[in-house]
Amino acid sequence: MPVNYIKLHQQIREMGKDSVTREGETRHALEQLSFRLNERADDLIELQRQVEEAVAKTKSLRCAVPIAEPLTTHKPCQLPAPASTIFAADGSQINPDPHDSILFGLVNIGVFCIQPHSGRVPVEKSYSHLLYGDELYTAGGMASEDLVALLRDVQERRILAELAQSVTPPVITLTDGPLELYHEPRTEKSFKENFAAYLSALDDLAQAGAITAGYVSRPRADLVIKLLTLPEEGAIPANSGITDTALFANILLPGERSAVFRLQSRSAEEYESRKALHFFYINVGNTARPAFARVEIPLWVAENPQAVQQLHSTLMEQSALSGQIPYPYPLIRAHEIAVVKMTDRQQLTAMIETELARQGIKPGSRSEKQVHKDHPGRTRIKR
Amino acid sequence: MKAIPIGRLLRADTSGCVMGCRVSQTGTPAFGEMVLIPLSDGSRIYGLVYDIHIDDDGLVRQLVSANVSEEVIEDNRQNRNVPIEISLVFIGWEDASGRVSHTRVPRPPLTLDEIFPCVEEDILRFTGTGRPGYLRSLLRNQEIPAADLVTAHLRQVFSVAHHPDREGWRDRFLAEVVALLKDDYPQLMDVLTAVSAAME
Repeated sequence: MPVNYIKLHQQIREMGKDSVTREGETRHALEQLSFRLNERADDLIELQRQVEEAVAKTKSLRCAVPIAEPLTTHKPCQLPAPASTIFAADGSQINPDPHDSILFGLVNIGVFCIQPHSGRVPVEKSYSHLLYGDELYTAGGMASEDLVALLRDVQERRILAELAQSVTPPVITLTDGPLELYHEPRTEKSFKENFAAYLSALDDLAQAGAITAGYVSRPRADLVIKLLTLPEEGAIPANSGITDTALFANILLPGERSAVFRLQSRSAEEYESRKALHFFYINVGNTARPAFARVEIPLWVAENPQAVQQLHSTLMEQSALSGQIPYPYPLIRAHEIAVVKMTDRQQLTAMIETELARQGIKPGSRSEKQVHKDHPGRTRIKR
Repeated sequence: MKAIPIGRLLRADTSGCVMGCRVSQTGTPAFGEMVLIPLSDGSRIYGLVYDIHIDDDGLVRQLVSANVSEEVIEDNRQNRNVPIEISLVFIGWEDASGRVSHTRVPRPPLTLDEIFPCVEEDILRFTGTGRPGYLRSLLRNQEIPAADLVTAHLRQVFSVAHHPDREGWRDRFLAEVVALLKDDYPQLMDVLTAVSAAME
């Protein structure tokens, strides 16, 4: 059955009308929030106290907590960035699919290493780990997509920790996405074990003195907005869709970063002592095309102004390398190295099938459902 | 084999092949350059470079407009766009006993066979066997830029430092071109114009 375009047409018209109304409301709310941001820019102690009080009432509160810099801080970066070794890691995975002919998974990590201004040829590395046998199962059944994603994140972090220890500081490690793995703690044993391994890798990075950061492009978070609306819950509707970047859009000029905030969340409590999660916003774009990102950093970076400054200027410099669409070049390359394409999956499946056949194991087959899903589309007679 | 390989074979048939190599302004063979591929049975295949591809992609197109650093240039040359593809047309072969033939190769080389530049000795051995019979396959191949390729080849052979009969070879070469293209006046003019420009 095709999509019902007649019904959708009406809904799309309504969506258009709703967007106009919503935009007006958003603009008004944003003006209020901007006013409040300016009004309370230096009210850091009181804001910290309000967060403490709110957390006592609502454990799951998720918001920003100011540290030392005024809320309206907008610091320019200093270029060129000091010399460093940058390791960027990204991961991709093949999730075990019970409908496929063979049950297996894959975690693939791509690492890109660049030493800006050194003239040295950057280095790329990839680490592939096949998931089979016991690794595919947990107490709750087959490994879920979330668990495979966690295995990927742990691998990324471990590899970065090993690499960071192997070179002379200063070292910057970058990953795509937040350092905080999930917003709510997971209780399953397999998750707990792997999460502990993730935290341990963060400890190793701290030990190596690596300037560690997670880069969140076009963030949708409203952590600072939550902070500003703490005293009057309900002042801004919970589903207003207003983001922190909308709030900072008029404050952060190209190249500037915001104040560093601490992340308050139930999950963030698991990142103890030097691992405590912090973040700042950054505009890596230019006047014609602003590009905002949230940069998550652990406490050992946040408490070191030189490290924050080096990270800030390095991110700006590396983002400028990617041309009109600013994004850190090392992350672009790490993704490119890591990505597992459908052809890779097919190749890997064929290799495993061959090996199993060599061992005398009868090849499996796709599930009935999968066979029907994979039917080719319509074909036209060729003359 | 003392020479350093310039690349390895990606795909082939009995008329030519495509090789892959790393990007380097100095190490990449030039258009028209003679190369050889040693086979495991002791025979060697000779070919000419007739095309060199350097592909782009989305990232490179984006980087073109950026202020790229030296590291990014090297990353894209040495890590990302590897290998560059070089197309070769086979012009003959040599059996294990050293007998040269200007005919189609009996069997193509295999995947990942190494490809070497021809040194002067190789060029003289291949071209010093009377009539340049290999011109037939070059001039009748519609898929290659024959006039430019023949000219580049002529220039390379003519510039061999210790050629024993440079002018004699050139005359035999041009006589063969005229004989092969006697019924194709436009292409004959095309080749002769290109050759004259090169020999001036």
